[in-house]
Amino acid sequence: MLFNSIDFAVFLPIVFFLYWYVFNKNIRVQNTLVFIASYVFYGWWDWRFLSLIAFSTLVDFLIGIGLAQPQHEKKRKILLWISISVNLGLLGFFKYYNFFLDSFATAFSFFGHSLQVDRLTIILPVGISFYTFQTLSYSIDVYKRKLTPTKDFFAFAAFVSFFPQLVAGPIERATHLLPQFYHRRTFDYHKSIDGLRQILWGLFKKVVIADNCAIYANQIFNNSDDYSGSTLVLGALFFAFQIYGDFSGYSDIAIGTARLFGFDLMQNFAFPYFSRDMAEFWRRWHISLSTWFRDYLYIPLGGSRGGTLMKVRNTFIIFIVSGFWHGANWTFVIWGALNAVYFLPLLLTKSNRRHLEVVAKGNTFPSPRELLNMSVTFSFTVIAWVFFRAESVQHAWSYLTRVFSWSLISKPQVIPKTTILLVIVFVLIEWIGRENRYAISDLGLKWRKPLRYAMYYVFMFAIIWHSGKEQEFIYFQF
Amino acid sequence: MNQFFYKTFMFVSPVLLLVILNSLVYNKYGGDLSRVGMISVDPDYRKNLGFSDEYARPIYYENLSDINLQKELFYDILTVGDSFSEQKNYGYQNYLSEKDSTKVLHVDIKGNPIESLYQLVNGDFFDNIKVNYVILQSVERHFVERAIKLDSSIALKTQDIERIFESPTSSKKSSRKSVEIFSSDVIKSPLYYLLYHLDDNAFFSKVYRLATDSLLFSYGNDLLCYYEDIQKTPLNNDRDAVVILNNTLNHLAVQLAEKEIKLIVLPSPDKFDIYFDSLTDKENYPKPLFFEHLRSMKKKYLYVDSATILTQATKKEKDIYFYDDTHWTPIASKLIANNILEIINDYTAKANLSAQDTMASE
Repeated sequence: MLFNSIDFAVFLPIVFFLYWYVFNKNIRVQNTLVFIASYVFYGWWDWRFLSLIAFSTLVDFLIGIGLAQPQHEKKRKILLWISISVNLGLLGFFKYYNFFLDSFATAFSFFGHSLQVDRLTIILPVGISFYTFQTLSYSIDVYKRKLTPTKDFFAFAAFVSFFPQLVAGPIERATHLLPQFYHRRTFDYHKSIDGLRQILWGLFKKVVIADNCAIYANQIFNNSDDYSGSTLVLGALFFAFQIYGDFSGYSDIAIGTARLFGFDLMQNFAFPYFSRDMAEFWRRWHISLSTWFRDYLYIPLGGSRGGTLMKVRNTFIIFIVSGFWHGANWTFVIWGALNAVYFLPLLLTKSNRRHLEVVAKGNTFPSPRELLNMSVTFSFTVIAWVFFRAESVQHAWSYLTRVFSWSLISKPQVIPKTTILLVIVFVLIEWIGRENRYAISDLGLKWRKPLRYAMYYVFMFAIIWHSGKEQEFIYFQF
Repeated sequence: MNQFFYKTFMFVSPVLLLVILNSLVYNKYGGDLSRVGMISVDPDYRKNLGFSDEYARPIYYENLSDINLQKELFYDILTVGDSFSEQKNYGYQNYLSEKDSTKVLHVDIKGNPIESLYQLVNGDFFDNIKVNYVILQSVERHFVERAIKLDSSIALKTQDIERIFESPTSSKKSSRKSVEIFSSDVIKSPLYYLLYHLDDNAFFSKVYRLATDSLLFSYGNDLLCYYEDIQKTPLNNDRDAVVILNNTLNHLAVQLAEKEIKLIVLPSPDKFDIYFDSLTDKENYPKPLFFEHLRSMKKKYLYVDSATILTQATKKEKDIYFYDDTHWTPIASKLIANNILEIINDYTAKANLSAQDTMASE
């Protein structure tokens, strides 16, 4: 069920009530409720998906117990590889089978032979890319003895299927989230109110910003041949805000919802569009995924130790795999590779850890240099987003070719004033709140109550006013 | 925790109130105008119009999606149009096909009907499907812009048409939306209700609610019309733009004549145009001149003067159009169908006379 749906609006209070009023005395019962509620939440899309997540959960639970037994290192490695194979195998089959088949057929055709391939009609289970990575983090951390495996199946099942973050992240580490299932949660009023505030902001980002930008991004991208370069620039900008509003909005709703139940999830977005270089961007965008790849792929490959060639190799691997994780299309691979190209100069010149604090910390305005750096970084990001959004590599190439043509110097053919104004207001609010976990976490807390509540009502009515043009969360397709 | 529940409940209660209010007043069964304008209409309104028999009529014509395009088939009339040609049981083509065993085939392909017809003409469609007349129907507000934004070079072959109908989206039926909690309907319905007292289109609505000096409908004293009826009037009033339309239609008529098919053009008037003279505040709105322009132009096609027919009808009886919808009622469909048959009979008679004269002179 979608977060911005009536189904969830009914589901959440029921689960909340049961969690805190009925089942709060016993930790096991509370975890079991989370597990059941999460399966109801997930099964709402398609009950057949439950078998996959149940299978993945069972395999990793048993492997975790197996890894805890004192035994030969070789046996432990085999168990780990079973976990990796099962999880990546599921992911590979459901997500990439047809892609590899088509790519193989295309490659074959280069030799002058056409290959008839039987594509399978495969439905991609919602959230498979997220929960498989989450369970993998458990197996790997248990193997590395960073985490004691659990014998509490319901706690583990609840951790894997935890409904706020199940279908679009944040991808939680077992070391961070699983221990939270071992202790009875007690209701914290301030945490819950903060959670509601974060949900409100997440809904605003998704419904008001992302869904409105999506209308024009889709219109422009789907008819890019009919538009001028300046219009295509606007289309790319709209997509940049669509994907940010959509994905970070979902994360905010997930984190806020988890707080209602006494759980803390990791921050997934830290105002990435205010980054001063691409290294900073990747420290602020989809943090849970980028740190996952850093810890479980990049560092085991050698990281940035070793010679230049190794650094280049590892950087390309990490970004290309990250691109590929997003979807079975060459556009995602190129998006990843492009980001690697952006990142490499910073890595090789050891400038990738220059900007560790938020931009213009303590100041109202950025300096001219900071503004320039942010603009340049944002521009590079938007260029890469064109590949992410385009239907094919040819489409992306033709889109960018038209952008960088004489028609760039013309009035855009599409100027949705209301949406542009909304985006400007949104960016201002994000700027004001950039030193916090999410933009409005402290906004209005020092105001008088009527004014603060008026602000919340403005957000709420904006969300309701813009509802009904709903677009699916982008990251659900991953 | 009680404090949390209390505060949360108090915060969301205005929304809950709005939802309850909407569930009491909003009627999800209204026509397109009542749904878009969030205007509540008596759910029995349509039943009380006395058209139950018309709604239940069997369908006598065929749809393109149902026939075998590979076979050679013969029809008297082919119809291509927009939603006015999709009224099914009480649509004009159903009344046409009932009379004198007239065989009618309807092209149920979505999109610009002028462009669709060009695509059929440019392709091989008429090689197998033999027709005597093609009725090209378009609603007034879009007619001119459809002629301007037109790609007349595309050809649709038989296999392309078959692929269109095989695609899953072609069989999707649109579902009417009821009020949802996470939907702007919750705010719009009460807001529009209040604002319609202050402004003809409630400042934001896509539906105008205009006061009239006559009883035009069995239900309601005002005229509901779509905002584009008014918004597109300047374009439709531009004689040069209507010339472009007329030239396009003449060109199509010539193309069809080469295949021995006669083009009949049926513009479907906007409610705003048909009922303009009944508006109490007509001086605040531009007078539609589209039909005046089109009537005065030389035509190579047969023309259904629907505006004249229906304007005269509105003076004699009510409910020529639905109160809560942009479309005409079965009364109008029958009038249009009868007129088309008269036009065809006149044309056939003239053609026979002309042929006789030619033979006589030889």
